[in-house]
Amino acid sequence: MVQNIFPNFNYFDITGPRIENNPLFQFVLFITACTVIYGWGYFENSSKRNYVLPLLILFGLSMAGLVIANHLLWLYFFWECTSVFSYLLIGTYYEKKESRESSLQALFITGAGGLSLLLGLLLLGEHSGSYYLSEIQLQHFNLEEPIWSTIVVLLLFGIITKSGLLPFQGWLPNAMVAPAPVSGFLHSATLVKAGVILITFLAPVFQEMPLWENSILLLAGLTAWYGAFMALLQNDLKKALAYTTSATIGLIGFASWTEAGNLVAFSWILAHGLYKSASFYFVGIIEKKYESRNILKLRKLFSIEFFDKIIGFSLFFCCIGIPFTASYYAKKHLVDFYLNLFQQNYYAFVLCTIWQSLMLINYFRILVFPYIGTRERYQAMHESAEGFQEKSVKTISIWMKVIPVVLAISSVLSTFKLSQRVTIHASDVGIWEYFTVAVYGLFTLLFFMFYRYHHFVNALGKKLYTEILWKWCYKNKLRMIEKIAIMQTNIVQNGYLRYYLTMFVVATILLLGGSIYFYSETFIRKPVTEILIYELIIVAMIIIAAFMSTITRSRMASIVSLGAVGMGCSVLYLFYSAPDLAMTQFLTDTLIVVVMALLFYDLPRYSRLSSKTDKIRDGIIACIFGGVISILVLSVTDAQIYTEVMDTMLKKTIPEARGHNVVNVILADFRAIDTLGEISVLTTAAIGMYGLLRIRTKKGGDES
Amino acid sequence: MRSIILISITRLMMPMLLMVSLFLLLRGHDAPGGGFIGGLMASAAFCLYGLAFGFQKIKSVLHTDPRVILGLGLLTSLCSGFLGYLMHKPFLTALWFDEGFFNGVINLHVGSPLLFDIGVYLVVVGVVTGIVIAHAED
Amino acid sequence: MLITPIICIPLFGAAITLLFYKDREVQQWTSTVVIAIHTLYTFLLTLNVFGYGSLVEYVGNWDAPIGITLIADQLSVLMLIMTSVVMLAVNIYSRIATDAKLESQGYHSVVLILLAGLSGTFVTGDLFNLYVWFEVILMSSFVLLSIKGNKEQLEGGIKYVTLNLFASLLFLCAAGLIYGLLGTLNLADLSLKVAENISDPRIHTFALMLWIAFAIKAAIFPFYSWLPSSYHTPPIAVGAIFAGLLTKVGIYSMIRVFIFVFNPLPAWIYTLLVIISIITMMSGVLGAYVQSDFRRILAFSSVSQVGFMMLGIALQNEWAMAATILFMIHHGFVKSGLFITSGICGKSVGSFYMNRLGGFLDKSPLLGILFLTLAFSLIGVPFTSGFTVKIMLLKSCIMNKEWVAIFALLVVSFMTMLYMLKIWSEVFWKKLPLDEDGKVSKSKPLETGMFIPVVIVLIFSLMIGIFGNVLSEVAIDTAKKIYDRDEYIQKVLRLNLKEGLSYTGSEK
Repeated sequence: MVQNIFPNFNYFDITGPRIENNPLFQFVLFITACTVIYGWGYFENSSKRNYVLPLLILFGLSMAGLVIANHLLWLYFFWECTSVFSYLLIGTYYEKKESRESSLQALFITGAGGLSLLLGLLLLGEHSGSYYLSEIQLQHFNLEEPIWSTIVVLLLFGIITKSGLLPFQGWLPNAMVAPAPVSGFLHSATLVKAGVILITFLAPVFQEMPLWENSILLLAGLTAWYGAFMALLQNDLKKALAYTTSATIGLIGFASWTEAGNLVAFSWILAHGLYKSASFYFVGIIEKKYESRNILKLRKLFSIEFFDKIIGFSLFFCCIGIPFTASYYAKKHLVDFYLNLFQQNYYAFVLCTIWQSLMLINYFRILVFPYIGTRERYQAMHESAEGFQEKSVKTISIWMKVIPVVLAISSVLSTFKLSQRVTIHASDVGIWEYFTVAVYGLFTLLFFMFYRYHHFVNALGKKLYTEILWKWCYKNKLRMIEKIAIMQTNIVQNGYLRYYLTMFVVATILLLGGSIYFYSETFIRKPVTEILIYELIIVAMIIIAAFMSTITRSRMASIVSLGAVGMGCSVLYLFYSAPDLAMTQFLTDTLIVVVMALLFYDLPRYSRLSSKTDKIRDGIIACIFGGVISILVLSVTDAQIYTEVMDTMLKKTIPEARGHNVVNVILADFRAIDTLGEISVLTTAAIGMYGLLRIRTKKGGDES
Repeated sequence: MRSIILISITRLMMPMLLMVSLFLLLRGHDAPGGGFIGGLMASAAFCLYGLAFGFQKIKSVLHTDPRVILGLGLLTSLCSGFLGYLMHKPFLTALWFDEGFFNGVINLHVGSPLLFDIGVYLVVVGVVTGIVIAHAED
Repeated sequence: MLITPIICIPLFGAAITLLFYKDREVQQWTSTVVIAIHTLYTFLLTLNVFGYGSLVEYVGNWDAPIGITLIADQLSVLMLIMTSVVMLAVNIYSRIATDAKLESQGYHSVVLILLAGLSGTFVTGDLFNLYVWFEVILMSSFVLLSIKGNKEQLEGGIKYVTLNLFASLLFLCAAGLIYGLLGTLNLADLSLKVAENISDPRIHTFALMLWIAFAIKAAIFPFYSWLPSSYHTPPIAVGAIFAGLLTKVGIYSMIRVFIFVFNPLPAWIYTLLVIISIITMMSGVLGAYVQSDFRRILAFSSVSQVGFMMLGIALQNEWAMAATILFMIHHGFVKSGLFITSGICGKSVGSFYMNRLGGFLDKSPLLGILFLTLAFSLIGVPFTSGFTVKIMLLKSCIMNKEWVAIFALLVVSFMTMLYMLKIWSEVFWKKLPLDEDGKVSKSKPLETGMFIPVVIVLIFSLMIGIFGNVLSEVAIDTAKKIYDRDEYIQKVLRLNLKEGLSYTGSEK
């Protein structure tokens, strides 16, 4: 058991040794800076600039914190921060309902994952004996204990929700309602990588665990294929990019589960972060300039500027990984890793080739295809020029144009760092060559096949998305929660006081009665004292009066009967030689009857609200409750175990408290502070009555 | 519609009831009675007065608003407690004239519990008259 | 150092405000000054208690089991700090957002009496005295609830007072029965005598009876109906006091009486309590989820949060108890801040229904930030107060291997996030909706001064989050002293003191 689990605000807890030599940290800061500059341009002349830019910076900082955090709870802190800022950023256009819903959906899924992660991290900390990631990574545990499976499941749940791995992938495409800087930064370069980054952090601990390996391989693999296919079905540039993103994350996850794959994962995270955010920013430019991000619509435009085409092409080459870009080396690392992992298993290679080809088609559709449409080609296809639009191009800020170029250049420059670590054996070079050629060949083949069924495929994609993913994965869940909630609230909180009171009394009867029933030997016993005849008479009187007050139809009779109950009690007090009590009871009852009688003139007419069966039911409940309390009272009658306080009070009354009336001495001396409390109760009651009655009379005056 | 019998009885009873209430208050520490009972008795007297002359009139008999009486009562009881602080004793410690600091100066069996009881008395009077007056106020 | 001033100062203030019932200015100043002094005194008391150990005062100079003893230990002063800070914040709010009608009805006097009642509850060491302070709180909160006399408020007020009187009835019965059996009311003495007779089933039953009384006060399933039907009705300042402080009285008393005195009870009782607290959490959170009134959401959310506190009590370990102690304070700050925020929004538009509210983020980004921070504090994002307590509860559940409770905790946190963000999305993000005639609804401008109380409670709440490592240790220390009663009992009954010492009351 770890004693103090709360993180401190010191260097070791926040980062410790983990900041050293951490390429991700620099990468995140770099992307943040680029995004902020891009965002500055993107939100020129927009009131959203003040909303988005601070949040972007905060997000960038928390992401940077996440990759260097050492204490598990600091890690969780940054993790939650990224979720929260992502929520706020997806909702940038919060006036729109769509934005609000999408952002809530994102937090719905990542928030659930976050909680699971929290529990997982706590269990990890408790069972590993340390809350420091740098220490945990060095330890070895007996992973066969069942608790470790629980931990892995909990952590993985957090990871797959955050990274948008299947089956919690639905929020990512919807998050594309956010403006381009947000999508580019959060939903491709950084936030969605958080999950896989965490996988790489934990890989040293769990890599020997079959559950860890299999579930990551399965989910990541499925996501890679799913994303690659789904991207094909999208006509919206950003959604298509979002699906390619989740495909790539699937790929990264596929490599990151073991320590050996860390290099692959890191190089992919870097390379993908650079080219994908550049693509997003490029799409942002297109969207701003031509006011559309629909592939088909864009193809109908003449006026795509040459500059945009050039950027699109060069980004396409960055994405597909032609030599000397970052993704070229990332792919090389990947091939290297697969060769080691699958022991020359060429089925994996075939799959990988097909996957790569699909991704190529996607990038082609996003970055090249929309901007190369020409009037001639279109006319040849449709024999009319109707669909073509001549649109004025919006001017955009220079900062927006610069950033994709900068990112593309840095994608090339970063190869200096990545290429140093390439360790491909000479014999494998052949495979690498075959692989590249095969990919390009397949790409060309598939592209032409795919192009014929373009429209059909798109319709399918739309249906799949709205019918199944959005409704089934999210909307229906929310609706289910709502239904349950309404049902239970209607039952528990239906608005009637009499119902509540019945509920309270019945619950009390159940608890106390249950206890009496369990311990019936102690409670059910004969009363010790004798019952005298005059006591009986008075008690009968009290009971009759109480009964009368409930069945009578006139208020006056009811209050008088209650008065009679009080009088009966005061007579009883007299019998038991408590004159003070008797006097007080008598006077209070008299005054209450008088005051009540005064107030009754203003009340509405007496009406019956409950049916006869209700009354009988309530009567039975009341009698049982009375019975329970009576049994409890009888159980302590004449059974006092200790009497010294009582005796001391009596003893001290005359000599020390200097009074002869013990009741008054208790009230004004022994327990005077009780009385002080009681008179403040009285004062409050008077203030309340005074205020309320005057309001009533004022209102009455107004009406008349 | 005022009943003459009630008015004349009230004129007779009112001072007597108030006297009784004071009597109950003062003897409280040694015999049945005390601030609470005394206060109730006095309120009963005021209620009687109200029944006879109309409840608005109670205010003129009291010469002040019931809330002031409440405040005074609370203050009196608190002060009897604060006396303890002055004597470097805990709050609400009973202090007697014929004992302790005052011993020999005044030989009276009167102490802070009585002051406390007076506070209770005032509060009770304030409560009942307050309710009755508020009800009658237009 | 004396403890009684903590009760007397507000009562004195109440008396003064009553004497000057006509002069609102005097009343306002009196209450501000009195609450400020009270806060100052509380902080002094806290320093004293943490510096030199708990303080004891024998009211009326009567020795422990005979007279009434007041004790300021760590738990008490922590609760007192929460009380006085919330009260101070609310006082500042009501000074800025003056409500003439409310104040002419004696608002200030009643608030001061309520403060006295709360302070009394937190320092008393006597079962019946506790009951008296409960009554003070009940009566003054009822008056505050219905003081403006709207139909809605009266309806809520009647429900509140009826159901809480039932609690008082049970408490009184239980106190009487316990006195009838054990012949003492002093908590320290009582806990000694209970320990001697711990196997007596009557004591278990009476403890259960007390628990029901406290459960009604604390709004625990199935005894919470009064809370959602009354919290959304009163004026904002009153609502903030209610939300911040009332349920805590029940939880505090549970710790002080049910846990401190009657421990250990048979295991089935604690198991039952774990189940009940889980149901409370779930039930409250589901209730909050379907509401469309800003304040009703907050009211139901209080129920679910009370479930968290109850869970901490039921788990019976030090971490859990410490979590409950901190949770009370955290929730007091956060919920009253949220209520004031809701008041600022609702007042500006004139409605608390979320389909009538909107556009507050554009109107005041500062208010948005304040609300969001408070909301995340309630949800439990790291380095907010909610996180500290959630982690502590989770850890204690892990220690006790209560997997169902862990699951419930996480689900409830998740649902809390959903409904708080629903508020955020509807009130702050959404544009101000059109009214029935299709015109843009009018909304009054916001006074920045009204944010001050929210900022105050927010700062205190964030301190719990940021100094989680320090405060958790303090809370665990406090919890240890609750389970290990010796220090308290020795202090109160002066068992270890030599004879011959004069009864000088409080010890220096």
